[in-house]
Amino acid sequence: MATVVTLLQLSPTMSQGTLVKWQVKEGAKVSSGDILAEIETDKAVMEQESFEDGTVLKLVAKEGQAVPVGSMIAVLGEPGEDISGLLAGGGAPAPKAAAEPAPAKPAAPAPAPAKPEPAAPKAEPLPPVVVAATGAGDSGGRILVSPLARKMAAEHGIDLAQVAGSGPNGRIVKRDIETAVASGGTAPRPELAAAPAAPARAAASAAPAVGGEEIPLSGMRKTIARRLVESRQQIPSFSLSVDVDAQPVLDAVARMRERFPEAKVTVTHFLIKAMASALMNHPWLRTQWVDGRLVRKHAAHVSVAVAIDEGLLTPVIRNANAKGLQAIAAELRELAARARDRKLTEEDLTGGVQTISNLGMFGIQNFDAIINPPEASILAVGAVIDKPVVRNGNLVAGKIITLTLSCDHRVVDGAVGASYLKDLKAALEDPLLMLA
Amino acid sequence: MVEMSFREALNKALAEEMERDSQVFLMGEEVGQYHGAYKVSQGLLERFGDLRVVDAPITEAGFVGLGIGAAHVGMRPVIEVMTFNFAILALDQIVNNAAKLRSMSGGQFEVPIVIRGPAGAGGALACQHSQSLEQQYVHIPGIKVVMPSTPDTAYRLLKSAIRDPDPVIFIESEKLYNMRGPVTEDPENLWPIGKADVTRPGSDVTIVTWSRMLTAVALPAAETLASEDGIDCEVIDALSLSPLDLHTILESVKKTNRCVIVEEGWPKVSVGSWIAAEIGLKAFDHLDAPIERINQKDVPLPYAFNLEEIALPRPADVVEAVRRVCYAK
Repeated sequence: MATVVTLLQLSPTMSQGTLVKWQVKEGAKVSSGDILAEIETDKAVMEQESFEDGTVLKLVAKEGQAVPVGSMIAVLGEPGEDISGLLAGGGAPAPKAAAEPAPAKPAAPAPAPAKPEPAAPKAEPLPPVVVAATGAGDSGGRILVSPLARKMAAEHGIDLAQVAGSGPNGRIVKRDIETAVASGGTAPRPELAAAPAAPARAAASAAPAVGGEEIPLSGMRKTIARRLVESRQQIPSFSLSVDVDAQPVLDAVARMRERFPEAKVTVTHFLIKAMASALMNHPWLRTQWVDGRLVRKHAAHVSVAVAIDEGLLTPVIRNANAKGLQAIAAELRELAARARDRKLTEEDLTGGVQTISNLGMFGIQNFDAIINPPEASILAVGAVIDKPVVRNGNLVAGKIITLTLSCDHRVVDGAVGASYLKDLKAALEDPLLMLA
Repeated sequence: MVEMSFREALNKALAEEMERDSQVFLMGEEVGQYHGAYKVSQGLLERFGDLRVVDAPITEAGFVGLGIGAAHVGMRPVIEVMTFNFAILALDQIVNNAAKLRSMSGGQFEVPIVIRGPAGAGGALACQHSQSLEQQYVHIPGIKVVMPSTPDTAYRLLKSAIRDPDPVIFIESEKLYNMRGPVTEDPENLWPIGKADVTRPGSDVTIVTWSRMLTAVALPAAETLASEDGIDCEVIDALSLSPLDLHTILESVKKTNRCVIVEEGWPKVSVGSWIAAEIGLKAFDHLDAPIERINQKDVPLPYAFNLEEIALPRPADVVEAVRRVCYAK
């Protein structure tokens, strides 16, 4: 009996994916567990496996095509089986047990392959752990809205995609619609339907007539845009800067390099270790604002901003306080390599409590970075700069790094962030303290 | 209005109805010479004699069955069960005879019986003597179920129950017998079966409850929410669970858009779960939040006072649930 293969939700924030490459051909036999296709999600290129044994009867999605989660990408079955009934159903997420003999429907002209709006993707995906790890309520692309709010939105002609929900998991509730109405969000509905929809959601909607070449928007670019807009709009952030005497860390790095040259330890690795150690002593820096609630994390997982050609990823070094510098260095190298190959998994990318972003290698002295939600802070690291410093009352040449911590003021108050930064500075200026 | 206890209000209603209608009689364990395990029948044996106040042996199926037989030949029995925990022994009589005879006889027989007695937690009475089993009766078509919450509603509802042509299960909370309150002085001021009372009007959330939960949990929670959060709760005392005054509940939910149901009994397949389902079906477009239910924990009720307290619904549980459905912090 033929089975419809639908696009799985391969990341908790994924509402559609791009079929990068088919790993099977029509007519090929596949077994459960075989890789069917490479799919670009909003975060990474991932592999979708087959859950069934059978023969590939039809590859419905084309390579390069963007497909909503839950829609048909292929059909498996017995060679020679009639699947016209299934294919006539279009891209709809057909139920598993599809046709015996194809229902004798007059073969209606197949509807457009891609459905306009990803319907509630009920994929069979992802261990729940991963969803939990991302914290911020994810609805798998659905807009969560109370029945009353939905009705009110319809009455007022409010586009729900434009409304920020204030309920649990971002649920849009009565007061959100009232706010939208009060702020003039009313608009005649029917005419609007075809207009360029929610800017945040529309992918390649009617391009406005501006000069220049339109560059294809990758899934990663979209995710970066969405998350950073969310961060800037929702997080009341402030920044704290401190100058750190880098000499002790530079000395320590030099000794590590001498002793363990193959480990290639750098200042960044030292910083990750020091951040994690300080995080363990500062619970508020491990606390996150998630849908109006405070959620405290009990492990010092540090996200590391890694620039790649297509954009930026933040893989996570878990429990960095408990790891040695060699281990951190090796792990970061491995994560960065997989980031460049777009092979990071959801697990690699979630669960961090604080991000480090280091632009020192470009000679940047200091900058403030945008918080990576749901984390409550991010550390921006500048270059090691030769500067005059006063040491024991004497003016000497010193090596200074400027650290800038941006904090989510809903969680971390000024004094709390400053106290963390003070401990971090102390640990870097006397690395032995990290052993305390 | 005249002030009296819940127990005195029941006694007054019984005495007045026995005076009014010679077919009314009271039967049950210890109702005569001992004046009732909870003294509800104080003085009735002396006043009406042992043909109308009858002490029964410890055999619930027997004397409930006797009462049903008496009812369908025209008497108006009030059967006291020492507690509804033991009425389980008489369920066959109630479910298969009392509830069915009108239907089975094509309307030739009525069964105007009242089966009344205490239920619910009474304070370290242990799990066998603390149950809230009203859902057993609400489940059965053919019988009515009422649960008064105050001396006044006890008085007025018991009179309605005795005059009703159908079997009425009349459940009294054991902890309410000593509760004092004003009671109507008009002997014909009955509370109709099938009507709920909006005890506390409000605008922000509907709390539906009945029996002891009204004064012990829902109203104190409403006061806390008013003073600490400025949330204005509408508290509905269901009073009659079958038939249920769904109209009053739905009108309230359509106004407030939120509902919390407070029920002393367990959560699974309960009266509250049924009410929630009705609201979900009939007021779906008016809901701004999931319907929350506060129930006794889903375990046999612990004996120890401290554990009993946390197993039963508490005002704080309702306060939290109301804050959740109001999306308040």
